[in-house]
Amino acid sequence: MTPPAEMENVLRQFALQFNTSPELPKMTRGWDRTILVQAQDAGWVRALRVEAGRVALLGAAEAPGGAEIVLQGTSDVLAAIFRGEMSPTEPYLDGSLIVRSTEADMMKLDIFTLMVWGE
Amino acid sequence: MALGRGGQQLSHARKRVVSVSLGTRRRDHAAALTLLGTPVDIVRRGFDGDVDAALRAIRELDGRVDAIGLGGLDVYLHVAGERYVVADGERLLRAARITPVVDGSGLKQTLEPAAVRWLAVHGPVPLRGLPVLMVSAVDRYGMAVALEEAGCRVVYGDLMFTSGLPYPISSLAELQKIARRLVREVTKLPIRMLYPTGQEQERPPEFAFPEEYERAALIAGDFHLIRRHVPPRIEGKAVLTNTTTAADRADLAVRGARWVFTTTPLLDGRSFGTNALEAAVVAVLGRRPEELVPADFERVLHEISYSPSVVDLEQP
Repeated sequence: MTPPAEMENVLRQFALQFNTSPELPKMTRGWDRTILVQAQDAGWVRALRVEAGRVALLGAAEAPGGAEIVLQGTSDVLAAIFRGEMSPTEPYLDGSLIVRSTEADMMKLDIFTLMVWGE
Repeated sequence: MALGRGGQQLSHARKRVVSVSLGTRRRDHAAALTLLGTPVDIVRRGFDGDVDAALRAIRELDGRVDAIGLGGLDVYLHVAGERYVVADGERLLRAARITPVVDGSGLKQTLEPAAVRWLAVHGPVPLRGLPVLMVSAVDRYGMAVALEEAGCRVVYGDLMFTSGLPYPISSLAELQKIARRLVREVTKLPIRMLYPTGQEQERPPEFAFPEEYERAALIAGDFHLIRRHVPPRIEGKAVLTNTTTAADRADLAVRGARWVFTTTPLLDGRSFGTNALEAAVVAVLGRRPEELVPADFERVLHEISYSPSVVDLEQP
């Protein structure tokens, strides 16, 4: 089980990678979204905000109710995705990652996570 | 009997080929052609995007026809020496145990560069320096390379037109980099998320990124993707694509397009999808698809005196 403090580091590192990518700020132009990350086994919730081509990790108290995208899974699956150790496609297809969003947003998020961590 | 490549004897007994397509059933047809001296009956059956129905059809056809073509999706994407497999396509491919199944990508890799090379020499529009929008290139990388070699200035719309991302890809090197990061994973998603299938192919266009269409003098790539996003006016532009119907060409004419170049060969006066034609080649040569090499397809193109079709939409 991935504890909240470690997940916080993982998400911070993800945001840093995202914001220093040469492509992602352009790719996400006009795609302003809040992403809620819910670890079902560990009981924590974190939120990322994508806005104006940058990602910010919101504080635990700022996790909003009206997120456009909700990711639910075990803390280890979520941590592995945001660390780039696992693509989101496989856990989504086998049901260990639940994505509540439009299909178009889901596909975009899939692409962004793959772009962040590279080949 | 005639001799095939490597000296093996070819039987000229009539062959049966079925193209199983995820496209609309409204384009179903049956036709006959003669290829390398062998008569081939080709039937096209559309399944309106229903992968499971297409799967059942392939199982029923297995062992009863000489070859099966898969239309309306690619199974293999070949990008810069890498081969990526589309998961839904692979399911269909593996549904047949006896009859060879092909998706046309083998033939496409030979056919489309040949079409561009022909257009560079004989076409009505000079390609050198021409601004091109290629709506998607990972599905026809050979065409992309040939356009660059012909001196075109190409923008690749893979991310814009399959994912809605405002990111025109501006070089083959960048396309390769993005493909290496994305394609292996994205191709695991259901085909309906990646490509218009079935009735999606007939929906009115929802134009997107019109500035990219506006900037280009030549719009290239898969026709369903072009059509899905085409703006109301594409005045004087040329379209280079796989195949079109008379209704497609009429629609392009209404939008002001001038030229339509189609890569799919005309045989006995009819146009066939590359999957159907590759299946016919496999049936006629009597070889497994994995045994075929580009030289086999080059030979077929030579024997049918291949050239792309050029239609001037301003000529009645």
